[in-house]
Amino acid sequence: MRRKLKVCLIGATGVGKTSLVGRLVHSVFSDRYRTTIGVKIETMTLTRGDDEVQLVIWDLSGEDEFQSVQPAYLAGAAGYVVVIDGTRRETADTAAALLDRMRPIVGHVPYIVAVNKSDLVASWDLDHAAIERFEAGAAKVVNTSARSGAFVAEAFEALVDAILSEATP
Amino acid sequence: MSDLAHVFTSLGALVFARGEDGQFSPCNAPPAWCHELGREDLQPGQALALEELFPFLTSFLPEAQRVWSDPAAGVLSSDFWVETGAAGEELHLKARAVRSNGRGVLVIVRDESSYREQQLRLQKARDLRMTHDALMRELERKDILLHAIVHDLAAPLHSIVGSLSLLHEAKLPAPEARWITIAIDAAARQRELVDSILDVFIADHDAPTDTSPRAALQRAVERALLEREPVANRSRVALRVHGVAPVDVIAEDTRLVRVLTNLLDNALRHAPAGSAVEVEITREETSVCIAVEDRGPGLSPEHLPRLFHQLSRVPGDPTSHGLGLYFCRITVERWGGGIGYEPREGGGARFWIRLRVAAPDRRGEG
Repeated sequence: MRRKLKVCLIGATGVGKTSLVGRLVHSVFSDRYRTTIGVKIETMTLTRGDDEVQLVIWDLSGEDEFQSVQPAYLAGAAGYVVVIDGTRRETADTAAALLDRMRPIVGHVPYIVAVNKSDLVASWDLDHAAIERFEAGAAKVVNTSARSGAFVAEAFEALVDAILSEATP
Repeated sequence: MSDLAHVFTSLGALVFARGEDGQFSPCNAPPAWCHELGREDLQPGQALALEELFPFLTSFLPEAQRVWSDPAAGVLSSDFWVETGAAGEELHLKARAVRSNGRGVLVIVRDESSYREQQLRLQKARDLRMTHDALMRELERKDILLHAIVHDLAAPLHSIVGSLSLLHEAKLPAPEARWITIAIDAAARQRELVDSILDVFIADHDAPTDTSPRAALQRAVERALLEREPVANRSRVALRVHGVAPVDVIAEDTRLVRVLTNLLDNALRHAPAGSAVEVEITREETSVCIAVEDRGPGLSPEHLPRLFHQLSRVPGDPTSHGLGLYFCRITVERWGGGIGYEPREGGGARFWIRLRVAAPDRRGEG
């Protein structure tokens, strides 16, 4: 079966949302940080079992004091990825606040939490408690590295699997 | 194609007219950027599902609908959205909804220069914020390291002071006894510095354990005076208290005594022999002001702006390490109080702290 799914990426500024999508869709990574304004839209196709899934990925600009995530962009999303920067513990708080704000709009659709920058584990600034709070609600919590590519595809596949399993009657 | 349609295309705009059935059709030939996106086969007049063509519009069209249905509405612009062209380049697009001759019109343009300008501004602000946050984290790490080092320095110091005190009591001959006294004084100063650093660290980093602290002010003042009485006697400076304060204030007992002894230490260091350091307690409507006054040289105005900042030394005081007043400020402010300095009438310094009076204690009632 061929399906089209809209998925969104949300999170604080500079956590690596655009880099994760760049790694997933184009297999590239750049050290140069370029802030996203508005939305960046990418598409890619994934095969999951008998399903061919066209992902329309909405990479939303980061949440901070200069710009806030527009809730309207999440409307119609089949699922979403909440991205945290493992080297900045405050990004976990931003992620939790975004989840609280977005859930009433997007409804109870599956989401995963990507704790990014796992290649910088020596500078890790998150303790277990900071992550534990996401484990109950998220379909999966994955440590990713856009730089090395570690577990990036797996994270999106896990989200798609969660979406498909919820869609299956 | 009309001349106007040519103009749209050459200006890089893709214009859609909304039909009565809600379907959109292009009004002009696709501009060059549509080719980069592989959407060059749009035909003017051809009905299209716009959301399929530009997924971003799923979030914009509901808002645009309001513009199209209201003759008085102006122009509605979308945020930027970014799509990737066939060659991997990013295209920065923006949509505008207008109403023209009673019909809905949607214009999509590629606007690289506005995007870059906006991105540059935002990126600068975000870069500064991230640099600031990184520096703060680094400072915090260094503070913790410093705390660990100072803490480790404190332990042997206690042994040194203890051993020297035992020697001092051993009635050594005059020259040796004098050296021991010098060593004890130096060690005591060292211990004072270590205590100050640890105080500041705790005040800076520890969350208050007691969420509604209260301290008996009179008792705290008496304890502070008692602790500093030997120093005052050695300096031949009198300690006097004016006013009584049988009230509880919002403060932690031990730290309030540390704040008061810090202020007394400053005053005692500058008070001339034969003068007095005066503690004046004034009850106000919802607070209490405790002023510590001396007849020393006072402070010159240029030193005042940074007086309560970290590592801001009291001028002319070689023993000042710039931590005591900083500790007093952050501690008092944590209790919702304040601290200040003013020249004393008739010469000298007057440091004051203002503490909120605690609500009557109902513990044990009912």
